[in-house]
Amino acid sequence: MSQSTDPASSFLKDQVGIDENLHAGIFVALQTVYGKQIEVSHLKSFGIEGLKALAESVKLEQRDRPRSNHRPFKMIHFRIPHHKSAFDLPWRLGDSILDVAKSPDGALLLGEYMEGTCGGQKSCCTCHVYLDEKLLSLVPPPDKGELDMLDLAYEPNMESRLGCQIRLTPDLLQQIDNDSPVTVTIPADVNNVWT
Amino acid sequence: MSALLCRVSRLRLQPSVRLSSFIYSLKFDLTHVPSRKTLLVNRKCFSSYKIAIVGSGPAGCYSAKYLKSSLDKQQHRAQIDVIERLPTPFGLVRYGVAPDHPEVKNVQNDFAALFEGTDESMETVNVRFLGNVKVGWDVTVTELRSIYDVVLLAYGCESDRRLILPGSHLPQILSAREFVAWYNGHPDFVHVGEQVSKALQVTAADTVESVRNAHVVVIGHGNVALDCARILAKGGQNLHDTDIASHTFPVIGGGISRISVIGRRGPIQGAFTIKEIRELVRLQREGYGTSFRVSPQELKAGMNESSLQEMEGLAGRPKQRICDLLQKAAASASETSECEKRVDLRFFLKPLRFETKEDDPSRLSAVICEKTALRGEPGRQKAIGTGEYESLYADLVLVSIGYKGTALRGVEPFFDEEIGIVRNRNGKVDHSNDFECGLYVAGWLKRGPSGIIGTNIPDAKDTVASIMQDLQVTKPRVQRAGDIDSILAERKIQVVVWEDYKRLDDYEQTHKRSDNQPREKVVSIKLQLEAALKFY
Repeated sequence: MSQSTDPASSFLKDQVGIDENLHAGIFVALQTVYGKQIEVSHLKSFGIEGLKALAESVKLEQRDRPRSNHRPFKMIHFRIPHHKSAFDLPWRLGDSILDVAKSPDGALLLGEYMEGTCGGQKSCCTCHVYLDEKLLSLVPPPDKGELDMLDLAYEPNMESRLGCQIRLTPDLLQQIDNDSPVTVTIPADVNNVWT
Repeated sequence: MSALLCRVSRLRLQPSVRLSSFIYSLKFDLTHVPSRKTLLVNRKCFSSYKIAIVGSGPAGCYSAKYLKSSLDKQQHRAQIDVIERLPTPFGLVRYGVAPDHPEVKNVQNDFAALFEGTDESMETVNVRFLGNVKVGWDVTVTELRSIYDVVLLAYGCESDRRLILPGSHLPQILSAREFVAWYNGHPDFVHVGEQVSKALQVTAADTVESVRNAHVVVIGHGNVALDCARILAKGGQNLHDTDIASHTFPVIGGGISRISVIGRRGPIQGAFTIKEIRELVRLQREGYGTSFRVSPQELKAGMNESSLQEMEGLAGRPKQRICDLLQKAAASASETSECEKRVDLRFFLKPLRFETKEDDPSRLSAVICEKTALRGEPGRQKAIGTGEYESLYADLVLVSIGYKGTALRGVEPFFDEEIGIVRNRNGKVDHSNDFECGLYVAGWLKRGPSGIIGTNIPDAKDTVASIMQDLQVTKPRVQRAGDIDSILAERKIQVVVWEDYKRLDDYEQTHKRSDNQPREKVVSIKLQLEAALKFY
């Protein structure tokens, strides 16, 4: 779907700052009000704050709705050094690393290592992982909120990220080699707030 | 099928065996009917461990979760009863987490999944919620130990570390724990509102929007202290769309004009975390009409040699980031415009006594503090008095120097009164064989009142590992002095089971003051029970 040439999509992305993967959901919602074709004028009359709020609820809806398994994916090689185990799991387009841990296959293997207590809202550090160098260089750097939570994590280092913030985008999908899978390492413990 | 039933009835099965699950296990193998000998040998697979967890907060729920998965993996059958004093589960997740931190409460969904509709005949490990049952009154720990195989104490900290100073008995001095429980609608702390109202001298002229012209001093440098400051600064009305209790509105109104958070040591030693500091710094920018102040001199004093060493390396990075944030806040203070409300984060102040008003010795007037300086090695610095004093005007004081555990009857022999925890080794409490029932502990009652919700994850895993180790060599007990359901029924205790709580949960989510609220909490036990136990 080439939404990049669509003026409404560009408006949402550039003027309002809403991520591309939420555009489809927003258009569907607005179609109930404005009919099939969503124009920039429709978006403007909805208001910037209104569009942002709509984006948030689309985000939540996407998070809660079961995702199709027939999406393109890359393999992640998970390592758990302190339990001497390693295994591979599919990382599907649109999912975060925490989503992988919560998927039916992932839950069996990773469930107890990545609780995701706050549900992916950067309000805990139970999805703390160490990324390999390659992946670390490809993903956008952490923002202050994520860094604040990493401060509370168990033995954070320069490769530390919150799994809920590392998402497989269409761009990232292109940039990951099929030959060298991504490696994600699970820290030896969870939550060591200094006390 | 009836032929099989006849066979079963001739066997002497333990009372705890569920006939339905026995039949179910044969359901898919009707062609091969086990011989009587096989069935007798397999008997031990069918008897259940009975486990009681006292407390349904994060410690109790994570323990239940990991116990269930460990028992499932080893194919043991078990019944886990999570016994809770209040009609509502989840402990501090409901009554401790601040109303403006709703995402932290998401963990309730994970915990709810434990109790959700488990079909008893299908599950090998069944987890039940038994609310409104007060262990220590309705049933004692000793009685629990005579009917269960395992008793796990996870009831947290219900008291405070005390600050005993001249004047600390004054009614205008409260523990932060009580204040937090009050704004979070805890049924046992509704009375705190009147105390706060009197301290702030709220009159009929004060509306729910107006700022209260008063000074509040919060003593302590942890996240609870910062939560109190932030809630007081925002005020009830600004939190209208949260689950803050409605009874806060007439009391704290549009917020308090002057709030000081004080502690004995410096910014590097503070127990608070950066997220909560950031929220205070951002109050003005986010439209709460509150400026945030920290003293450049105090920050400088906090950068002594030992403190600089405490900030080094990866381990020191969190402290470094807090320091950077506070320095930026101190530098930009001159740029911020005057606000009606102000929060001061103060360091190096040790409270010595509480002074009363000259014309009214029943009213607090000020907190007299001694200025301190840091002495000692990195990681072990102490605050030493300097002989200089400062008087902080105060209408209300919230003491936030730590929660503290208490001992239920039957637990005293194992309780450390000074620290307020139950003595244990990896969560195992009683190493004697006085009961046919192991005693364990998890959560704050085990390690002290520190950490965040997630800190209970490794804590619970540690205790569960101890329990599983012991269960390897223990079969479910044969002699039980009864079962919990009969005992509670006999004593006419109105147990709130999970289905009942869901009714109350639904009520709270449908009887809201605002559509954007997650829920409007019911703040009396009586009304909670009415909503929960109503039969339609």
